[in-house]
Amino acid sequence: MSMTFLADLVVILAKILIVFLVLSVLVIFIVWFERKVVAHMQSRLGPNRWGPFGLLTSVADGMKLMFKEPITPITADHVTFALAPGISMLAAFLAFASIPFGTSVLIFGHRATFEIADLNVGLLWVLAMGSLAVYGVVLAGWSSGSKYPLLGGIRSSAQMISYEIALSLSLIPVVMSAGSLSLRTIVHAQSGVIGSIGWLGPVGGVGKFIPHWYIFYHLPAFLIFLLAGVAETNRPPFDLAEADTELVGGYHTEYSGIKFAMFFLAEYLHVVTISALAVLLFLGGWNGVTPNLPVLGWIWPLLWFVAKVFFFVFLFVWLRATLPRLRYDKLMAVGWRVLIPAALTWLVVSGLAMAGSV
Amino acid sequence: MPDERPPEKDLGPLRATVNVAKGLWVTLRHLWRRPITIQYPEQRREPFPRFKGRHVLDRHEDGLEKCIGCELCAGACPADAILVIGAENTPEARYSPGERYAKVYEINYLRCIFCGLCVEACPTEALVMSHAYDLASDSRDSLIFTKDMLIADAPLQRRPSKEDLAAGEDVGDFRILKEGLARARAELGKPQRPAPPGAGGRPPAPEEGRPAGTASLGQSASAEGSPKRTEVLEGAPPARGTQAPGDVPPPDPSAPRPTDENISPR
Amino acid sequence: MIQIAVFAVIAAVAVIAGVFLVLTRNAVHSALFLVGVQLCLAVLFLLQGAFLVSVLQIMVYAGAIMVLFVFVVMLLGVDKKEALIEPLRWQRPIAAGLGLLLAAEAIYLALSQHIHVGSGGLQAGPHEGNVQAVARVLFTNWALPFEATSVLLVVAVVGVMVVARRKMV
Repeated sequence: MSMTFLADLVVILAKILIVFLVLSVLVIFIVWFERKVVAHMQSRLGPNRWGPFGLLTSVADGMKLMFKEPITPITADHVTFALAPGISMLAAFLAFASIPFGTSVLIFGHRATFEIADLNVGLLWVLAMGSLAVYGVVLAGWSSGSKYPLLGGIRSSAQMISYEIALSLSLIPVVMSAGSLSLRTIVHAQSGVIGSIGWLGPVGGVGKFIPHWYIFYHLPAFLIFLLAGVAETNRPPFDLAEADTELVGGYHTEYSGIKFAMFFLAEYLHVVTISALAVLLFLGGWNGVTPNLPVLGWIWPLLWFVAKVFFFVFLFVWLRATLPRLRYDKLMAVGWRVLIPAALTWLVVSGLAMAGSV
Repeated sequence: MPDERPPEKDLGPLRATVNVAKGLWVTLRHLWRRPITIQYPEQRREPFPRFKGRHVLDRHEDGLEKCIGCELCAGACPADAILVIGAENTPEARYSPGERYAKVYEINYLRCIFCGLCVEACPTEALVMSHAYDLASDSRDSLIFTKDMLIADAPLQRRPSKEDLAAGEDVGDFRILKEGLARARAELGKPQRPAPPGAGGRPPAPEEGRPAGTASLGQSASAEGSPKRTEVLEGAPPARGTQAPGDVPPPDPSAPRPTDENISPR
Repeated sequence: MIQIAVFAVIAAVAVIAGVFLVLTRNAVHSALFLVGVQLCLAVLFLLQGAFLVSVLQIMVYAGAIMVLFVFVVMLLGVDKKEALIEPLRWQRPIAAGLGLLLAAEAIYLALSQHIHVGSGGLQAGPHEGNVQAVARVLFTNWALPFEATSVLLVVAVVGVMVVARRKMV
């Protein structure tokens, strides 16, 4: 084994460790962020007891869950019951293997890119991990050996499979525009500005100030992606898998302690994943609207990326604080009768437009 | 059977989107508003003047207890939360101006519904309700308040009259009582004035320095030789008479119930 | 070197999962072992440098088809015990015969010189990239079978609708 191989191995392992740690801390922060924002939207203060602004509340919650006794129902299928949260969390973490979050940095003469692996099918990898995440929910629901989790599991599997279709279909126009499934290439394709818009005539020059982001080309696809993404993460207003008011806790009703914490972690990781995907595919990734400041180097794009991701995380929280849960048949109707036909229509329209412009 | 519900109105995509946007605008606007909540243990809301909180047993100006052990409050109580065992005053140990005083006076705040009927029933205006409302505890025992916890250290200066209530004025000791149970409990351990003649009914000297309240509950009760509280209050009525110790006159088994023989005229 | 080691481990896991897939009596557990086999296959594709096929393997087989399996098993309710009554009596001898045939074929292929068994690695991959190469082959040389397959799927969907919702029609 050569030295370069060893160096590559070390860099890869370091990246994995860093991404894992950053994501774990990020989830803790997002849980706090959500509680705080929702509280203020409801004219409350939210957590404010532990640490400044209650920042340590989530840490305390996590420690509580870790030391809590994990209870397994007597009717549960024990192996599957223990396996389900692991699958959930593993799939959520693995999705980040191909998500780039910045340009690159030179460390000890070794150029390290801000991602674990630049797969040429990176987008498909994220979607594949999303489809594996269904197992965590379904198996948790089934293996609990109890009614509410089973209902939650069945609901969520149907919901996630349905919305996966709309989610994937809404991404195809972007892939067609960029001509690649690699997330890094898609981001590079979104650098620069739109340039003069011919059909706007005299005011077409305004395009020189609009960044070349796909949201300005594929706005319908973006909206479909957002809706399907919220549904895919089982977050309100599409949280029928948990549906506290109807199903107690849905698929994780019987879970406690560290296993419950793993589901919790997976849910918020999915939020970050969908937010990151939206940023990478529609909002130009780490491309800012201002020119890069050379002093900041790689930090500036990274900041742009994090800021955009946080905008979407806020959007998730905002939706949760505002909208009531959809009824199940309505949810399915929206998925199959609205989102999928709309996504297909936009796919055809953008395909025709691209064929016309060639 | 046909579905008799009125058909759902379909809003249509445009109006549905507008409605969602309206909702989002409302929550976004509230994000920047001041929260309407208060931070409870540190900040407290002022109760209304006639708020019915924890009871207090008043004293006369000369320090004697107003309670005469008549058990009318216990009889009036719809929740059966009050236990009064009266005893005769003697020249050596005089607690109240009349013939009798309350040897045992206990209110079970697990049962009390704060209706105030006991206060209305009291013929001597000994029983009043304070503004202390944070009556939570992690043990059942500590929510049974004994006489030494209920009784006021000093005469309540003035009870809120109707005029006071209308004007919302400062109503004497109620200002102190508002500050909560913790302070009242802390003050219970250190009497501010000499005990009344005989010094039997007040918490005896060993009580000092000990955190009053829950800790003093069991000990003061056993020191006075009164029956075990839980058994008396929660046991079946026939058991009460048999378990009362010798120095306390066995209470009427039907004492807490409002029967004709219990409600004596003033 | 590392590729061979990974191959050995993954192949062993795949075979063990396959054996348990047949042996286990719980339908959901069987389905889960099948998912395990699919994931092992995905890793094997990855070893060959076939990223696209590998990810599609996870997405389509493990992610979509097996989820539907589990979903249906859950929906219909699964007892711990397997039904001991064989509804199709003739299928066992046929299955045994076909299984033997498959085993013989596999042994012949392994021993014969026509097939080179081994991992080509990244170098063997197409130069223009997996996605483009697969697309080129799929939509030029094999366009007709591809379209025929999609027609077959559409027919299946329509057939299911007809069978399931006959009363409504």
